[in-house]
Amino acid sequence: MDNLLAPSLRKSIEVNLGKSTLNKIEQRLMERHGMGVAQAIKDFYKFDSVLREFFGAGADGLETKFLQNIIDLKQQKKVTDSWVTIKDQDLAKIFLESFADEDKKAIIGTVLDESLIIADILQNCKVPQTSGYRKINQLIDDGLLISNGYEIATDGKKIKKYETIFDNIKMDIEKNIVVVKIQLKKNSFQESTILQMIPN
Amino acid sequence: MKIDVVPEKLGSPINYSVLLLIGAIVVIFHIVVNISEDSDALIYGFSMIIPATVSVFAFITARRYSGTLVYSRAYKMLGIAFLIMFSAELTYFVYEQILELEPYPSIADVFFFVFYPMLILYLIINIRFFAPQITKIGIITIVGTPLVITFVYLYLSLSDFGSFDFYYGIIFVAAASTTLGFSIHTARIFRGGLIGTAWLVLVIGIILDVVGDTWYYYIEINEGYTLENPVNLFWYSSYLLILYSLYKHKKSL
Repeated sequence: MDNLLAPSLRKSIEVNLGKSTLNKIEQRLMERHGMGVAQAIKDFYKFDSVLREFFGAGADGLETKFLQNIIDLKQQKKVTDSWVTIKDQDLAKIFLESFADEDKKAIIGTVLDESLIIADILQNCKVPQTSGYRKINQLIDDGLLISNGYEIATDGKKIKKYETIFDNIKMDIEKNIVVVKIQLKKNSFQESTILQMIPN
Repeated sequence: MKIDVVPEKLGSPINYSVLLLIGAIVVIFHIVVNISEDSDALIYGFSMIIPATVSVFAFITARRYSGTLVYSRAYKMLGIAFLIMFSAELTYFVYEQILELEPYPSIADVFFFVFYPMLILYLIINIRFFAPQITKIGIITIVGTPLVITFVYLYLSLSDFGSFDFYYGIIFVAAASTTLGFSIHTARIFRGGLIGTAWLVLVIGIILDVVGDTWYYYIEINEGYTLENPVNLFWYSSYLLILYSLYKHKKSL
């Protein structure tokens, strides 16, 4: 889940506090933890510690604000069965475009209930190999697919298995605004350090 | 060879030489205007240059953060606040030196007053973003500070109860101390952070401004203000400290 949220959080810092602030935060993250914002957001406690170095207790408001721009926190507090409402339009667009693409939709459908290695995904969803690899990589980069375990090949090598981060998805277009609601897989929800930061 | 060690914690300590310099500037200036025969031009010049400088610096900082939702808006508000203060000083000068009218009370006071809501807006933009949920201590600080200071002023000026100066003074002291309440709350939010020092300096600056204002309206009730009055020291040092806090904030982020 954090993979999916990272680019939007980065954008949110830039929009609210400016590029120079983002650069300073990135510089400090690199100095202290040897990672960039995108990586640190996935390891949110490290990101939080750096934000606190800059803003003290102001980091709390900052983090909540970032999340507010991306996820509907009011909805999030009410719902208990891991449904997340995405507010960020760039993020919502990723979902919409992925489901508008027949190949990507087929790939997602294949790994919705079970995790598979790339070769099996391509075989099951009958997508051409070249474009299939490209589209799977796009889905991994966008954070819709995550690695979940390994399969041991005949030569003893470990091959990554992939699955979707969500069980179910609902998409609405309300007055030209794309509203995406995703029901996260239980482990996606529990492993997300960002979602664990949401105040109760 | 100097080893470039990554600091465990980022720091932005107050440069005490700058504080000493600010103190020296305002004290030397005060001595000079009290010993020179025609000091009015000097005082008016100084009174207008400082807020104008803070305003220009705030607008430059706002431009640096151009397009951002928090810092750009906040610094623009600060720039407008000090531009209004500059207008107030200019109007005061025009009333007294050009029109030869009594500048207190005058239209200049409208500018002097509007300065505070603009400064509060600067603080609120920061508070709303960084700490949208106000704690009980925050509420006590924001409400309690102006109440205590205004009551102290009331107590000190009770002898003039019912007069125009008495009520006029209350409005300004309440506005200045409300600003102080908000700024203490904001400084508490950023305490311990890199920008916390900048906010601490800002609070000290606003405290000096509140002391200056409270003293000024007390003087107006009792003896009458003159341009050579030491109360000016508080305003000058206040604005210079706010300028220093702006510099520190800009340097930190």
